[in-house]
Amino acid sequence: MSMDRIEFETLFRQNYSNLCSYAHNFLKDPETSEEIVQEVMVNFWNRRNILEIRDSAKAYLYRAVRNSCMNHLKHLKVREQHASDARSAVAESTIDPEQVLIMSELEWRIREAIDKLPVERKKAFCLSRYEGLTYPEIAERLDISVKTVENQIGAALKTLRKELAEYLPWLILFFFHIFREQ
Amino acid sequence: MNQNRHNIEEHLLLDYLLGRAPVPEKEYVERWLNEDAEHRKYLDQLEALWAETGKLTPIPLAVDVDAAWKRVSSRTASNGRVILMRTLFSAAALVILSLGIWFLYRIVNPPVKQVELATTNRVITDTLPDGSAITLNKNSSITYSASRRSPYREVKLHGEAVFNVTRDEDQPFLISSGKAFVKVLGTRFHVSARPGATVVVSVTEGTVQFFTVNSPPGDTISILLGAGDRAVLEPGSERPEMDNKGNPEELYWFDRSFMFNDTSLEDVFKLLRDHFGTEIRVTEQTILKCRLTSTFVNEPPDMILKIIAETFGLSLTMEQQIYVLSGKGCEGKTI
Repeated sequence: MSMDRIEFETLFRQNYSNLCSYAHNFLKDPETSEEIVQEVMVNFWNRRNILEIRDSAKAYLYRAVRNSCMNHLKHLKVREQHASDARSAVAESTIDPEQVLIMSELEWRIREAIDKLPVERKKAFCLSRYEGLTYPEIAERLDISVKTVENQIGAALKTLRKELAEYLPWLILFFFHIFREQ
Repeated sequence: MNQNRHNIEEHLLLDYLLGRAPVPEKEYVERWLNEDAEHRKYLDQLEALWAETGKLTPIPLAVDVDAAWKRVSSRTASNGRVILMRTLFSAAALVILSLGIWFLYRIVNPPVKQVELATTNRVITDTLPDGSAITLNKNSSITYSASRRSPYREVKLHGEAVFNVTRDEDQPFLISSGKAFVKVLGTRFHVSARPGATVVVSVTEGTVQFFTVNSPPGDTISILLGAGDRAVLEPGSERPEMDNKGNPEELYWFDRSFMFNDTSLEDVFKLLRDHFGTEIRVTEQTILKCRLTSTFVNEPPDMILKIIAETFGLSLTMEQQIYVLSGKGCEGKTI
């Protein structure tokens, strides 16, 4: 397949974040996840003229990332000799790359809105939402003040609400106020 | 619109939703909720947002895409010079001849800044010695030369480029391609000059003089183009002519833009199908007669269709991968 640099950059920007999330799901290691995805993208570019890609570039990238993650985990297994642990870790997190690609438009928009946040704000939001850290814990992790964390979380919520406003209203009809009754 | 006037810090609302607000905070939030029905609605939206973001699998990773791209970009930097080299070698005789003449010339004349750029399969952007920026489309080349003594900064163009020229009244920028010339003080414009094809010049900013030189009698026919103007020189013709209608996809290679100027929706949809494979159906044939004047830069087809629907008061739905537009069409109506 022939691809020019602009198409490559577009492919990169559209998929990088989601590919990293996908890798992180296997590795539980953000830095290695990013390294692996970057490696896959570099190889993809270097071999773009000789690769025979049967379906889409996107599907290829997800398969390549999964394979790299599997190899990485195998190396870890060999190094640390914790055979049974590594094997179970792999078994738990088998998300089929084909499933990953089938995403509802809502999910896609949410991921995109989160990805568009400035980096530090994105980090604060993800630590709160996905690792359940408290504001003081986030402040410590990111080396900022608690007040800054509060502002960042607030700004993130404000921005996300605005970006996703047109998709949210209908959700409210179905949503029961679980949090409210306490 | 009450979007930004909620007058409460969102993180307090979040604490409240998660049941971790201490009593005084909780009471503060509840007082705020009771002030206005809009406040409660806002809280509901945050609640829905929190719930929906939690459903993502796998969970998003907070990555710095720009920094990552910089790294990948430098690791995959291909050598523009390689293409330049290949082009030079294939025109070896010409280069050797030029070098010979250049050596003689150099002895008698002050040093000339000379730059050559060429593309085959890629679009490249570069800066000329005078600070002007140039983006070259595929299969194009330019030669830039200027010295302190020359009356012009001269560029010979084969193919297609977008220029952003630095202003220098003492040394205007002069582009030539065959018999077409474009003289510039300092502006932003686009030139397409492929052999045997119509020469096109369109100006975004500033003023440009587009002219031909008739050999003999040696007089010039020229027109002055300002911002938003476009002119063409047909292959057999000696005279540049204004043509503001243009081709909607003329600058797609440069910034993924479409420029519709009184274009019928029938043509717009054909273009969307050609570029993106988008299938579009209309419920009324008269919809196809509506005429659109609008420019889209780097917009995906679904966004373009949304805007068209809003512009003409149509409704847009999707049935099995096909977009359907319905509503009242136009009878020779222009918007």
